[in-house]
Amino acid sequence: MADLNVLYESIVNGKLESAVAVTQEAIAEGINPQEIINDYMIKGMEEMGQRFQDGRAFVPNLLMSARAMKGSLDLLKPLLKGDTSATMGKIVIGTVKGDLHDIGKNLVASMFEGCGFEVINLGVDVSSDKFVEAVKVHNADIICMSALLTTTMNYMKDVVAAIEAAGLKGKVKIMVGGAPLNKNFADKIGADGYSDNANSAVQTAKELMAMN
Amino acid sequence: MMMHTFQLNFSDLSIDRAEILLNLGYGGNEPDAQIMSELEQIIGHANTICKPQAAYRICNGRLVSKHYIEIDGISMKVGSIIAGYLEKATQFGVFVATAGNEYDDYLHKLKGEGDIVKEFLADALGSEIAEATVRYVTNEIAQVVREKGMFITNSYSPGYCGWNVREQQALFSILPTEPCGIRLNDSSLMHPVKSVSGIVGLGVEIIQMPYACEICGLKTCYKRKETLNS
Repeated sequence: MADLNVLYESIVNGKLESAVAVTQEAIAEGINPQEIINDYMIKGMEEMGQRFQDGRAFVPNLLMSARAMKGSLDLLKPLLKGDTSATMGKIVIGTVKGDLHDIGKNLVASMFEGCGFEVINLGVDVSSDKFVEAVKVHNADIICMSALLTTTMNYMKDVVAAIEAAGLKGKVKIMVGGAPLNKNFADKIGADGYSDNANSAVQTAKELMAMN
Repeated sequence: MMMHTFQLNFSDLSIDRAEILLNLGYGGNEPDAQIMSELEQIIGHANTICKPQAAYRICNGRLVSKHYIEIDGISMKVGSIIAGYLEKATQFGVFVATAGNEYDDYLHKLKGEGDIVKEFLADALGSEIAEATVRYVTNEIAQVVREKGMFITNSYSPGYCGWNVREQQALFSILPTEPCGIRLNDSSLMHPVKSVSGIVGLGVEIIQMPYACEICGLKTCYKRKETLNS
């Protein structure tokens, strides 16, 4: 019988192979996929996120957990088709125009996915037009922008302006993050949320979803 | 003045593992065995595929004002932080350094495979390869100018310390087209991604300062050295 506590531990400790093995067993036994995800996998990611927040784990640990989570999710996703409750919300994410740094943004994207959000990752050097188009096409709940350079973070203002011009402000929540940013900057450009790490980004996204 | 180009091997570089761990977010902490094992595998692979390159030109130039320098007649707004360190420069070493297209292809391959751990480790290593290549080329410049009784400043790059990344266009205009195979896109960003462009000030009165993160107000910068030292 599948020991789902082992799945939880595998996610926390970033053990991809054992996470996949237990998930396969659980699927074969007909355990409800949503139960596997909500009660064990997301809980595992939350525990790792807390350790990261407390300084007891580091970015590579977070990524190892996300990798294990993704390995299991890839097996479970086909079983969730048509179940709208399977996603916590849809997030369009990208690094703003003029900036090629995507590792931090990808980490946040992985955490979003790991914690149950559907993520459309636009990559790096993303223009305001591309952000607006993606929000429209995917009917996104949240737009999440990243920048690593002081010289590129100001482009976030242009994206916010483009979101307003497209009549989407309020319909889509705007989140920002990245090393040179702070809460004051986020407030100043009209963002709805700011976070300074991947774990708190998930919390912020959940709070923004609750406001929708 | 002529361009000096270096086709390097991975083994020519002094890769600093402490810098990689800093790039990975460890500060002064030790990673666990699994992470170190995956990192060493990636370093081993880089050793077989990576072909770093670097190039530099020595040009005449000067500090023009509190924010501007001029190199080979090209004006560049480096900002007051950097300009303050270039006051004594009478010439400049203009350089590029890259981990190369082969390493870029490797990063793309990892991204395609969707293994975010390997991608993150390889990205951090790629940054250190580019920085180690910068150290290689700036050491070369330092040796050459030392014979003339000159010294060099730290290196400064567009995109950092208030020097806008768009100024990379001006910097590249001083160099031959696509130096070391590096090209700029419409946003003035370099391809291959793991590339660095920059300048060092040269002059007989220059005193090289320790790496000067403390001059910068950006406390959260991922390149900040105090994280390692604290």
